[in-house]
Amino acid sequence: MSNLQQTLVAAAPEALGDLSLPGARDERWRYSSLRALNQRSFSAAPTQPGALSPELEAKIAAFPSRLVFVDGHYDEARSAVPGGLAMTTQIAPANAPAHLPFARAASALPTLVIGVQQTQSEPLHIVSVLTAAAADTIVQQALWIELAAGTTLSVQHRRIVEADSNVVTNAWRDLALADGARLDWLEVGEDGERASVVLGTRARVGAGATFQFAEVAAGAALYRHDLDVTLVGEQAVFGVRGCTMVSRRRHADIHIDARHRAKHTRADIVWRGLADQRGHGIFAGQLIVEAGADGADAALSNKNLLLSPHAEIDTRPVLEIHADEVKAAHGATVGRLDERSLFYLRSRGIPEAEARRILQLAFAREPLLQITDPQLREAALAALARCLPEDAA
Amino acid sequence: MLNIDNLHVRVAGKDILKGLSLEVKAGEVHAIMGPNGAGKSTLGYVLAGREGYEVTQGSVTFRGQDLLALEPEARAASGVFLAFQYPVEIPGVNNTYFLRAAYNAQRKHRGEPELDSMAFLKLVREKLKVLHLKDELLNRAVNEGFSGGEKKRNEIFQMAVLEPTLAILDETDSGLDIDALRLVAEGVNRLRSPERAFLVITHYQRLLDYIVPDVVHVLADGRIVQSGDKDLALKLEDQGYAWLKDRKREEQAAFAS
Ligand SMILES: Nc1ncnc2c1ncn2[C@@H]1O[C@H](COP(=O)(O)OP(=O)(O)OP(=O)(O)O)[C@@H](O)[C@H]1O
Ligand SMILES: [Mg+2]
Repeated sequence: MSNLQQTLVAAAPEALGDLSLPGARDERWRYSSLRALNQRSFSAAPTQPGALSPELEAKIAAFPSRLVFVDGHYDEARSAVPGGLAMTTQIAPANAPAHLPFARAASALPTLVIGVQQTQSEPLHIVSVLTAAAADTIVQQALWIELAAGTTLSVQHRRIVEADSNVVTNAWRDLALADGARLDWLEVGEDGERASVVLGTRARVGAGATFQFAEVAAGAALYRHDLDVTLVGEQAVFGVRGCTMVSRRRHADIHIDARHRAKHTRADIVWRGLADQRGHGIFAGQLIVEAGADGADAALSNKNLLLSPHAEIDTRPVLEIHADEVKAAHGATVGRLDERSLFYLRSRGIPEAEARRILQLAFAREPLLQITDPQLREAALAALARCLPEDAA
Repeated sequence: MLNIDNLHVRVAGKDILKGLSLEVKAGEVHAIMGPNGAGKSTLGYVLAGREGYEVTQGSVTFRGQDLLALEPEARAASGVFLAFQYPVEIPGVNNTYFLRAAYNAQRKHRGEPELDSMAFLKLVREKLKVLHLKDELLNRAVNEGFSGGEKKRNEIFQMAVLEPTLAILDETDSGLDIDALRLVAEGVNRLRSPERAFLVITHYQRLLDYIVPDVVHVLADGRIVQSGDKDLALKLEDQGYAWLKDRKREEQAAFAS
């Protein structure tokens, strides 16, 4: 048994000797307190994939092309790797940026490296399974995906949990898009209410390449995602379409940093948040146009609905411009469900609870409807419907 | 069918309806006219059950039931329909989806079987044809980006689908072109039956050429100050509301002496 810091460092003591986790005063972690995690002690994580229930096996097998991780370990036997992907495992240096200490810890572990050498016509499912055996442990995972010039890949990443437990997930994904490549990504978690999830995603987007990221965040006891994207080549494009939907005591903290490093790059972030009951949604979006990234186009919109007096939303859009001829727009709002709309629906005979659900779904769906990849869009909408159950409204 | 007795309503701390009484029998069409701010829309909202409209005195009975005790959705299911003066835009909610949810919710409330989407679509197509509405409106979000006239026609379209027992039309004629006015009137007349009643709120006599009312009321300062047959509307069109005030003053003077 060891504490949070010790457990993370123990996985790669040489590389992580100087690891320092966010302190109580760390501004970036202001709304995601690590206190509860710091007070816990953890057992060693399972060292290899264990047995799964037949239902879970069937659920996994239903994804035609898939990479399966069980409690953080890549599970070759359960995976179905399509052609055109080169898979290797590397011990990489702890190469995640210093401002993402959890990611740094994960990046020091053996990393599954996926080289995309050919355009993939079917979506690749990356399935992270958390078994009951993962309770009381920190499950870590590191992925590195490299898209060769001009290739295309569409990824659906989902976490599936066998049972709600206090497991901590710490996942790091390093994505590199060579010139003209295109990556569409959908992130969906079905995490339990007692779980903690810390995700770090970094992408470097080359000239003329496109990274479209989508996420449906239903939160967890603690849910934190840092998405760090740099547009390194001219005319690189980065888009985000996501929504947070937190109820009960769930928490979801989304941090997106989009960095324009080259000329005529474009970033376009649309995120919506809903918080009900005692849910807490946080969104921090930062658009940075570095010196020399002239002609950049940067847009960020974050709209939120507060559905209960005990719910909380915090939003912080930031725009930093150091270049010329930049087109930039950003805005954030926090509102309540429109009473006039609610009355309109009820006056037509729709019961109040259903009317609320209809309006909430409509609000959250707006960015997801703009997901360009049709399969990812369908999956995102289905995930959204799942995290707003009939009785939630 | 509808019995409003001495209704007093307060909105945002202000008394708006001040002792309004009105009786509407099945099969009748009542027109309500009156100056801006008189309380006409307030009456519609109170009947439909909007929050924030506080009834301080009086009662409303609808088909023998205490209407004011019901939630808005229960009022709709028991047959009350309000065509809004300002229909609400609801982005992200598909018009057909919305209407089917409403239609089936009402049926469920009444213990009737729900319609599947095929059967519902068939029903909707029929009603569209009657109102000469474009199919395309069905696939858009509720009222979003609709023109003023399209919104009003969408209200009447909803009415045609939901087939209410009591329809309250709040200035449905405002903003309609002449052809649309005729179509809307046709839609209403088609629904007219011995079992149904209409409260038609309007500023213009012209609508009443098409939807001929049984009774015309003038609502001013929170109550009905005058009732008459359809010729009252013609007189109002001609002379405005000033003569009513003069008459009221005379009455008060007579009362005082
Ligand atoms: N929410 C509110 N807060 C304050 N005053 C209100 C509110 N709603 C209505 N009122 C007031 O109540 C009065 C009656 O309004 P109502 O909309 O019923 O008038 P109306 O007869 O329908 O007028 P119009 O012919 O212009 O549609 C007006 O003076 C209006 O300003
Ligand atoms: Mg009005």
